Amino acid sequence: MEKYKYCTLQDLVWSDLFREWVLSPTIETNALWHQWLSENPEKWDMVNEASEIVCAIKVKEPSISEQEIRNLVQKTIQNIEKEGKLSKNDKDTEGVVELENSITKAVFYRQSWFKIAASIALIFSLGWGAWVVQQNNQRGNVYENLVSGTNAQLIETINKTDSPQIVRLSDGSVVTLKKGSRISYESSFKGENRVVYLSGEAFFEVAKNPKKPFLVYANELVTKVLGTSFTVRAYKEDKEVTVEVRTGRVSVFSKKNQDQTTQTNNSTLTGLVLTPNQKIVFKRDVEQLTKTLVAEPAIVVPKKDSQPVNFDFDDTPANEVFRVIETAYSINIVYDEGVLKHCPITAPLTDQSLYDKLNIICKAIGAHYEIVDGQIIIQSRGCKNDE
Amino acid sequence: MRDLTDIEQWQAFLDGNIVAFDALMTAHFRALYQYGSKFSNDSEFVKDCIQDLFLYLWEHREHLSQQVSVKAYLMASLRRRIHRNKKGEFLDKPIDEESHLLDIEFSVEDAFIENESSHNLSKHIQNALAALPKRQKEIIYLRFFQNLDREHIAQVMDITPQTVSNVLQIAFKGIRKNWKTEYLTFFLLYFLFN
Repeated sequence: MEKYKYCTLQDLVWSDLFREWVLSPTIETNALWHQWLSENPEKWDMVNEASEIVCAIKVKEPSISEQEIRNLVQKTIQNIEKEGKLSKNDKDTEGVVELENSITKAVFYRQSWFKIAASIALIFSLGWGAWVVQQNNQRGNVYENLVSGTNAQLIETINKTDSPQIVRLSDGSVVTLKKGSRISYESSFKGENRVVYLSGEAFFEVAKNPKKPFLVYANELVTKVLGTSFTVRAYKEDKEVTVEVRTGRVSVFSKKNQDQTTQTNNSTLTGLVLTPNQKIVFKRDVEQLTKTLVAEPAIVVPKKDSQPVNFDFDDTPANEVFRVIETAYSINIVYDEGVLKHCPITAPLTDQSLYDKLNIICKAIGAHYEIVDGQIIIQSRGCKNDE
Repeated sequence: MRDLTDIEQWQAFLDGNIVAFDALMTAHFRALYQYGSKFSNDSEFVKDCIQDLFLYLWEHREHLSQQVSVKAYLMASLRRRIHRNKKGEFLDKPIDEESHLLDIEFSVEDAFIENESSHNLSKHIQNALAALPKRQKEIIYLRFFQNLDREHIAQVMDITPQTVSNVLQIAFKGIRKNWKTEYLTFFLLYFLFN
């Protein structure tokens, strides 16, 4: 700092170091300038005056809202998608999700909302099966009713393109909307909850905010999360609604239920809570919720520094094998500890899917499994060796 | 830090990552809009130019350089695009650089000011800035209000870094001279009337 004499007020006003300190001070620059001031105490007045001037002189800039910027960016991306200028990889939903994950890691890791949002990752999807025209007419307009029934001023995005479209919400959450799907949301979430209405399918990456639960209304189902990422699939032709969870926790309840209670106002997850690899099937005609497992359960991503799970078993008691699987997939396995500890397993199972693993183990120990209420139930009469 | 983020986004976008493209455009839109608005009062025209620019970048991403200063590159591209599009509007009239509308309006926000002499000096600086030729104004704006350095300003305005330094020197002379003159006048008047 010695070389900076700052003889006049304007020396300070147009000094980069000074402006930087005044406009965006840091601990380092504060220390630097206080040091300089203690050496040059006669400059105090000048510094005060100069900092007022630096703050006061502005350039008149046109105003543009965050929302408008988002809309214009969105419009540009729609134009790109319309003209089919996305590469093939980008059109694949899985690809976009992967892409999203990798790029958020690479690019957004400094943004605090992402740091928080990244702490939980969960995927769940709402899917509809086949649907009859008659029911379609009755129920098809649930979305419209929901949207028109709210007092909040909503923005609607409809993906009319052939590829997924990215919608950024004001809380930092990102929604990847599938083709033909529509979503309505508030420009800024002012209420107690962050509420969005969906018809169709979308992948959500929700910025974590425990004080403001994030609610997805999709036909008769309400899905509630505090902060996570997930896919919602909701085509109105379908007969069922399914919710799939890979990691994290979500709570699902029917709209009907919610109307009777105040579940959405409570920040604790109520309703039917889904844990990783669980799936919910909502049968729309009978309004029945069933919990089961997803078709391809995935290993819940281990923490960064931990070892990948080893599924190569060598004379390992079956109860221990199940405990390893239980932890890795975060799925509850119900078995008789006392019976299974006498059933040793020797098998390399690392490359098998969960169901293949279960089939091989059960065959080896003469047991069979059932999936009940999102859990795996092992039924075994013990091993032949014991008899 | 900021540049690193920019360049990461930029390179991901060059790889065809639409999410990076989205982030890049979102991050730079405001600064581009502010800068673009200095050349046109028509805000829709400026917004269109920015959208066209990004569409163009997406379509030509395979031919773009991996190593750029993102903000300066975008501003330079927007500047050229606006000038080109404006030329298109008035094809019959030849338009030279200096005759382009460049409207940078400096203001003084009194909310930040507590003492009278800062207020006076701010007003003087404001007047001095307003009196600068367009080119000097633009450099001052990019330098102090968009925080670009000498090399980046040179890139944006398509001049040499040395020219940027020279013009900046001249501008400062202007601002200070103006201040001194007015300051003197002020004191003269002060002494005359007291």
